[in-house]
Amino acid sequence: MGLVKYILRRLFTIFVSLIAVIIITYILMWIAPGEFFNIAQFQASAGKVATLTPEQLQVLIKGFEEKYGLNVPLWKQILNYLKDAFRFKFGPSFSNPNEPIEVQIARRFPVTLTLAILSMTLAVIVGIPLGIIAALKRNTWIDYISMFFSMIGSIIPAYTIGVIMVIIFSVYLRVLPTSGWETPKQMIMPVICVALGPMAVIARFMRSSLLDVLNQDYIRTAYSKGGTDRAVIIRHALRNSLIPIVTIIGPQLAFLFTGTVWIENLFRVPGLGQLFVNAASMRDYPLLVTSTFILSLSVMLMNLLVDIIYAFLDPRIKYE
Amino acid sequence: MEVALKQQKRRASYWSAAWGRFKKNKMAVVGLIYIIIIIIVSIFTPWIAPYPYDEPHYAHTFEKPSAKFWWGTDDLGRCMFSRNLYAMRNALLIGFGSQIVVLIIGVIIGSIAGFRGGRVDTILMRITDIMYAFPTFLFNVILVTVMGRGLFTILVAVGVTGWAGMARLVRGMVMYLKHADFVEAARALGSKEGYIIRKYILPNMLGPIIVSLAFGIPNGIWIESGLALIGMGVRPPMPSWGNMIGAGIGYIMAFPHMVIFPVLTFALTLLAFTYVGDGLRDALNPRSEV
Amino acid sequence: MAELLKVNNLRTYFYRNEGVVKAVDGISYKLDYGETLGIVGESGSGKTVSVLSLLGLIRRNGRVEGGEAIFDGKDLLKLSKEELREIRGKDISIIFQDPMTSLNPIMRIGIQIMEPLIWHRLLSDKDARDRAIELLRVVGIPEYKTRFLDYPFQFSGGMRQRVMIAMALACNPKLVIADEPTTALDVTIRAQILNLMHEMKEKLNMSIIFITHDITLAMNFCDTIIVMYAGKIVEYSSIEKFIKNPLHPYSQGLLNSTLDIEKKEGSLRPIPGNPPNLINPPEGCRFHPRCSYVQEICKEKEPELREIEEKHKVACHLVKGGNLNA
Repeated sequence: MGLVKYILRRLFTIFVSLIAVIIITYILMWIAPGEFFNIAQFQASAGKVATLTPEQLQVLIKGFEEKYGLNVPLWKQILNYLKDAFRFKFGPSFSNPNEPIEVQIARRFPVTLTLAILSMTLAVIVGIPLGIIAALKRNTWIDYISMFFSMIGSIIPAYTIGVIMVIIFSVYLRVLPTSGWETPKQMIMPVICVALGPMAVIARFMRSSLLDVLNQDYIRTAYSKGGTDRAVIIRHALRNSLIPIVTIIGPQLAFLFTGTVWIENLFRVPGLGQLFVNAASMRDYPLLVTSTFILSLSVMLMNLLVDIIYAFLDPRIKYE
Repeated sequence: MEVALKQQKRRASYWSAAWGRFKKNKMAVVGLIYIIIIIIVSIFTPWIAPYPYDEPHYAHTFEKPSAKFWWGTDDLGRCMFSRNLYAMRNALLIGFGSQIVVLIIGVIIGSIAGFRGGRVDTILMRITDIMYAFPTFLFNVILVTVMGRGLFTILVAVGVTGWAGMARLVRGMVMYLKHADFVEAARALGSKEGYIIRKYILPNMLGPIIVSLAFGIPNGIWIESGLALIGMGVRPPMPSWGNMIGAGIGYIMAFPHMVIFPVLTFALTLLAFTYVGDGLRDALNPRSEV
Repeated sequence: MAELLKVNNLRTYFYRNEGVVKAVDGISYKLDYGETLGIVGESGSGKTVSVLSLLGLIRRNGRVEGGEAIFDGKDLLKLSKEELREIRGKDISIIFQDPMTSLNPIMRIGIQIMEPLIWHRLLSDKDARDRAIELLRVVGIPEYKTRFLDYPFQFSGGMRQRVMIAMALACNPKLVIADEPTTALDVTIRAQILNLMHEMKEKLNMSIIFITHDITLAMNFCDTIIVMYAGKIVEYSSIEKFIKNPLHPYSQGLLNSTLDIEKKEGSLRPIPGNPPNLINPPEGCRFHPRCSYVQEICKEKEPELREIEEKHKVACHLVKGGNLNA
């Protein structure tokens, strides 16, 4: 059927996009000024303080380059990386030479995925009803208040809201812990913080989409057939207005993963985002490339999922 | 000649009508006034700020707001008010600067895709789609890691990763305007392609582009602060709202003023830009008459 | 014949930023069982609003300001929301202008036809389904049994309008309002749809209000004709009298601006100017700025709708003794 073919073609697109992302990342790191790796850091990780002669240092660097596969030309490095990457083998990182990156990722990925899925779910199940209520009660105080808050939610970044929430719930009320990711209580603030932005965007979009649909001719037709408000809104307006919502959830996913990077750092959640920031700040290139790879892959796969849902909602879509 | 004059008049009335609509939106006007004020303040920051942003006062660390230090001091006794002014200045610089980069890249890619069509269009739009669905913040971090943490490099990094929306917008408008009835009419009357682009296509694209830029500025500002928050922003001691918030969190229990002032000015600035963006969108898009 | 609908002095205004638009400004008419009434006018003359007002279907910035509309003994304008809903689709149904946008794009058309039957609790789900399939057959959809499950985008414009008609006929209404049912269709399809409507009218003996801007169409299809201009009725006549003797300058203008093969070249005389702004309509007769017979009195005094002969009313100062004296 068309669907299988469509999914296969999309998977191919994702495959190509990922290759593009890796190549771009590699080239960026290659044109970066300075050494490809940080000698001081390397020395520290090798457990030797600067007591080496230049010859010994050369030998060590050589060994280092071999270990990380840096002794071949750039194109070959990229090729080697890609070959391994699609088998989910990423080799060791600079900062943690004794543990393969895939092991580090395997430990952290479930955390980020949980955070992302919980947040998206929260954003959808709160954002959509909020938008619907605002649209149905439009130009009333309910509408104004919910739209004011969703405006704030959509422009004030997650980390700022996180700080404000810490001030309120941890400092003054002392009801929620400021960090960690073991108990449900620790998850509340991170999930809400990541969810708020997408939630606000979804609510605003839902409102305008529903208002738009309510002005359509077919709504008038439904009323002319003797539909109650309830029947017309539920059977005709809602489903039609939900379709465009699905299209913004895709970009919101990218936005949401960005949010996890900050929030994981703010609340010390041991997820991929934290790993990514650590990698960047320590210039740990293998780790940086790989966490970019994994985060991009997650976003693209979730986007695919969203598009499949979209096709199910709208009979007009054929998998072209 | 007469036609040209009429055209001129019609366009002038479009902008003055837009201004009329904009003025009706009170929040947008308040936002605009706020933005004008902070731009002026930012230009003259070195003369307005009571202290240099990096001057420590070790005898006055963690001070609450006072007559000497209006917004208190931080862990090194630096004047929070001065640091906020400089942070605002950096934020505006990156907000506006990044949008110039976005404008250049987005317009070039979007109009090439729109005018050329065909395979060029397909390839460019594929790239744009990837950029659009990709968590571009990751690219920001990588770019800054690679290029260094200067104001200019951050500005470029934000712009280089943020053009996808603009490219889509420009392409869509070019595709539409290329075959819009009034353009076909001008073409049928024998107008040259260059004239059509100058007189018909560009003026009609201006409104949506301005709106897109207006929403892009706060976006650039919050990416900059987000970078700074995770230690990827401007290098200390240069202040940024992000690194001020990041530093303040550590002392949030005892000295909340270290977080509250940056968070408030930051949030206010973002709100102001967004209200102005909303106002511009409603003003420049007469269809949205509700 | 018995009277089905009697509208008295109906006024519907729209409240816009620029001012109050008096879209329908005091119109009265009546409709018998089995009668077909045509309402003709340019766009913006208030012809659509005048009927949508009866069913409470005007958009949210519009309001019925006054008048009455006695349908089957009940005043539609005084009914509660729920009472009006029970009439909509069951006793009075509407065929809208644009079948492209008037059907829900993501709902199977069969379901859309079943809805009025189920909403008015006339039939069980299963019977409603059978009835919907039967209706598709009646309105001439080929392969109606399988097309029952199709979506609107799988139909052509003409076929969609047939679906709209099936939907309007579902509950055997007493009155069908057809709001420019053929305007959005190709010329070749128009005749088919009109024939279908004619057939249905004969078979089901219902009353029809036929709204159109095409005066010749109305003259072919209707028993009675109303010509509206700027929210007011300017001429109201049985079709025989109107064909013989159209009196109002605007009616004549409408007729002169339609093509007639039998007439000579150069007979096409469009009405100059545009319909007036209904926020500040012209003083006196609203048509006077465009009327070629205009006299002083037209600018000062608003003409009343007067009976010139039996079943023939005109609102014009210049009509005297059954003729336009200019």
